[in-house]
Amino acid sequence: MPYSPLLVRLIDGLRCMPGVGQKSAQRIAFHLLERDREGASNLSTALADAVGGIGHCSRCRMFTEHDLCAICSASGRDASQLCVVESPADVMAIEDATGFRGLYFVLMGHLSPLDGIGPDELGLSQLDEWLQQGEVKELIIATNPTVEGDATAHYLGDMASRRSVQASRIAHGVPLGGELEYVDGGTLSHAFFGRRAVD
Amino acid sequence: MSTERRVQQQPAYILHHRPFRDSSQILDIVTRDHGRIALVARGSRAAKSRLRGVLRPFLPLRVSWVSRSDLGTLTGAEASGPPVGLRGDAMFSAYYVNELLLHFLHRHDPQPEIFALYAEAVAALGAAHDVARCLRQFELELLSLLGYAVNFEHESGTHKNLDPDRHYEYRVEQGPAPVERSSGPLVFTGAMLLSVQARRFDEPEVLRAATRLLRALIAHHLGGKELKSRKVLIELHRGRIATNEEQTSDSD
Repeated sequence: MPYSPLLVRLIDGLRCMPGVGQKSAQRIAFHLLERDREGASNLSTALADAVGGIGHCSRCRMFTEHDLCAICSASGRDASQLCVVESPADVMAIEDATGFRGLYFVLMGHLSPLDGIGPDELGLSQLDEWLQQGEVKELIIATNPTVEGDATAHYLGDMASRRSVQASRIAHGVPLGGELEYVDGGTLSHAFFGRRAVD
Repeated sequence: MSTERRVQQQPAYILHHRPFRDSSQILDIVTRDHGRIALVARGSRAAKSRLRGVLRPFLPLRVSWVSRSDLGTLTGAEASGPPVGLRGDAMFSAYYVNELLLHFLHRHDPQPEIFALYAEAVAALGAAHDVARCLRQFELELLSLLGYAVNFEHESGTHKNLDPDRHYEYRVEQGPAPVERSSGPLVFTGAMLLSVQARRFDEPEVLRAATRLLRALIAHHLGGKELKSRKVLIELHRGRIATNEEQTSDSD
């Protein structure tokens, strides 16, 4: 039986979410209509408000509906350390795991020459201006350990050294609780050559 | 009915990859015996995938796949050599090399010599101090392997050997034509063209001439298409030049 036009529109709309295909979209649509109309209308206003209201932090490019995001406007953060990450999810991961008290800069991607994603797309001139102000003493580069992430890290390191800012890149290596035998060669060689003195 | 085709342990490099669905990616790879092909690597971006450290551009691989249609499915991949230590400009140049192959190689058209040339170029970029030299060498060999006769030896039309003391204008698709003027975008002395032909790239003027020539030749064969990696490289350099200029003007 064909669905009514509104239902089709709802199912098609839900499919724009990652990991949601035809089947799941249908299930979500029926669930919302059958059992949770209140939840559905909250979702629709939340979505509309978010899409209309959320932009980027003018300083670090994180998502926010204000001019500055919560981290940039918080007092008591250490402005001398700046951590560069690829995505907003990385900010949350580092915040939760490390207790890092510095500031962030979110690239919203990585350099990808074959897709035409260069410094302009990543807002690197904005980062350069930030470094130029002289407040940042250490740039912590936390791009992903992929070839594109490496390329991005290299460029950021270069930028930092031109502004006389010390740059470091987060270490990559064997996962905690892992066994060397099962770690892939690339990771193991990184871990091996990036070894540290035992304290 | 189309037949299933299985290929095992084929030497290959990844030229380009893009995410596909939640945890997969589509790879554009160049192989030794099957040319350039596209493969789906299912689940390769999942957190526990063993392929995550392996499916990297510029890493020599041995790849197995099965294909029923134009798009095959990756069934296995392992590194067949140590990763090439590409750093900085060499890495961005390697992307440029990848983009040239993506443009010039047709799918399913095996070109073992070009595969070997590519492997050599990536290794050279990893080891080299002189990126420009590696690139010119690669571009020249690539154009001639593709069958775009690159001629820096004979006058176009007459096939006379070039006179080292004369000036020639290099005309794309034709070759060097003698001219009376001594300047112009693609005007060189015969001696210079012969040096390019002999690949004497350790001399800076020869390297510069080769750069001008090859840029024009490649732009012509790209048919007006802009290379994205070149655009990014130009942006990167612009950033660098801008800071250097600021710093010199500060110190003035």
